[in-house]
Amino acid sequence: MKGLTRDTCNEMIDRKLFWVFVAVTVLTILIVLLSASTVKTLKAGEAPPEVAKGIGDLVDAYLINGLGKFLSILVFLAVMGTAGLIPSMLSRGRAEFYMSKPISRTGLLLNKLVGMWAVYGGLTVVAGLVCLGVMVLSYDLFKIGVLWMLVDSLVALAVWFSITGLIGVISGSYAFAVTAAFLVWIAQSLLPLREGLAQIVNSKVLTTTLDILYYVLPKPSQVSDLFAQLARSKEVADWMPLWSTLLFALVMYAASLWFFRRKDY
Amino acid sequence: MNIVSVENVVKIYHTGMKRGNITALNEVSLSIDQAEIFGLLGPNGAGKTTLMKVLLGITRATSGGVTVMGLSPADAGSREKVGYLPENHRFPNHLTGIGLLELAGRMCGMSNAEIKTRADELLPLVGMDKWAHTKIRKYSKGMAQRIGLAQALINDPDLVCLDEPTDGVDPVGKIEIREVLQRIKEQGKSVLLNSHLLSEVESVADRVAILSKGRVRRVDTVKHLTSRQLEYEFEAEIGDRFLDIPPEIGKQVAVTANGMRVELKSREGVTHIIDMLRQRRINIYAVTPVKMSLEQSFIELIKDQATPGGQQSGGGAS
Ligand SMILES: Nc1ncnc2c1ncn2[C@@H]1O[C@H](COP(=O)(O)OP(=O)(O)O)[C@@H](O)[C@H]1O
Ligand SMILES: [Mg+2]
Repeated sequence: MKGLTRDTCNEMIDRKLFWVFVAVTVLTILIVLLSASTVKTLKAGEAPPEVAKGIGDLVDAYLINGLGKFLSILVFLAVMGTAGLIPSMLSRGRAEFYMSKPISRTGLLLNKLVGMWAVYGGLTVVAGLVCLGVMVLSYDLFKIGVLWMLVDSLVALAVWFSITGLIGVISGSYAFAVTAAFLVWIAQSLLPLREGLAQIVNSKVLTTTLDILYYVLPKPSQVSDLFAQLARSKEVADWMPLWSTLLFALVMYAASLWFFRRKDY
Repeated sequence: MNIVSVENVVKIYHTGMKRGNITALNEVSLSIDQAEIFGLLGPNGAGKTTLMKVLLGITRATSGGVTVMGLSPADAGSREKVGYLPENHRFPNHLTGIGLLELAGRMCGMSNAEIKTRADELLPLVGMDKWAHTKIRKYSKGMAQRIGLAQALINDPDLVCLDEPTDGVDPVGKIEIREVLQRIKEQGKSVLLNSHLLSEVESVADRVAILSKGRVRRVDTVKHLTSRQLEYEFEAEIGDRFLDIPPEIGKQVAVTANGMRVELKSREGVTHIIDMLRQRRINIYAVTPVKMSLEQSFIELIKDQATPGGQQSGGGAS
């Protein structure tokens, strides 16, 4: 990795983001332990079988949803925390240092992106596993499918990094990178609701535009739902959100490389 | 093979509407040989930094041909044996000094053992061994400059590009850096040195290119640039008289504090002037050929270019 992954790691530790991850993980573990003791008292009450099964489902959902929420907080932190890394690497006086080394532009950017993904993805997965371990031990139940939630966060990171990366390369600005990610997040939250709007506003142009936007833009929330289905070992009806999102990320990465290769520093 | 060859390079920066396009380099041609310290001189904004960045592939030339180690700067391989100390650098400040050397070394494809050996050599060389484990953000300008020089040398480069290397460095440090440059040269390596400090370039460089407004005004050895041909200073009791020197011999250019300055057509003229002065019973104490500092030569060259036609420099009364 030509040293850039380790550099990203050093950078993370230096910027204390590592400790934010640790703090959030510890907090979550405390919440899990606290709620586990409540659930245990429920169980101890010798509930009839049907109630006990209800509790089991509840815990199951709790395990998957809870872990999912925790992971999405980590992903959010990682995206906010890393949006400035590429602009900083390419800032005046620093870009010259990185670019004077015998690495092609493509190699440099890919190394940095992969480094970011490996470091922050790795951290998220480790934190997720620790949290999951505590959940499993305190509730005494485990489903292998829950691991799909970890895959989901890795995919989500790759998608968000593709957006902050591209805007970071083009604008060289942390603020723009974060804003772009935020706008995409709003759009992807609202666009699935576009059919409701189509019933109120009768405009062919508007509905078509919204449709196109929906299919083009990434859908991390829907992808998460999809992975939650997998985690529950349920059939996934429609894979479109996953592949269209991955396609979007791929295009973003290609565009970042294209712009980066053409810029002067 | 030339280490660096630049032919008719043009670099135009397309900026916003207000300032229009800036021609930072205009038909620049030069080449750097092996084991040569090549100085780039020029006023601020002359295009020195731009030229260096073009060589390193950080900025791309608008047109013209550039090769470094025989390769195009677009090819990462051209930088395999090149080191660079950027101007106004801001090295990743989450790193320590040694951390910067490690990162630079790994980006050059060196193994940990190689990096360790090389860092142990370089840190004392640039006088940073005591500060190696301090974060760069705590460094002074001069310290950052020294560690920057070390990172530029980490891969034992055959060409070292230094952009204003003594900027912010104390006087002792300046001399140390000069010594480092001499050592690099003795090892048969080339140095491209950008500086606006003429005396510094004068003391180390073999050849100099003078740049102004994006054009190369002159490429020459420091020796040639600083010796003004056939100008002599006569230390003699002349007072503020102008001597009637025959035009075929030369002319008196100026009256100086201790005598006069003359411009001659040939070296034999010296004897002639001495005879003239002796006939008039004027005491002569010394005759010295006039040597300009690079600074004078530089200023005159730049001035020449600024005034259209530019031939009236040097000559005053006749
Ligand atoms: N990135 C850039 N964008 C636009 N103009 C630039 C850029 N870099 C340099 N210039 C312009 O190019 C000219 C040469 O600059 P530079 O190479 O830094 O000169 P020097 O190093 O000799 O002081 C200047 O007029 C400067 O304003
Ligand atoms: Mg400069």
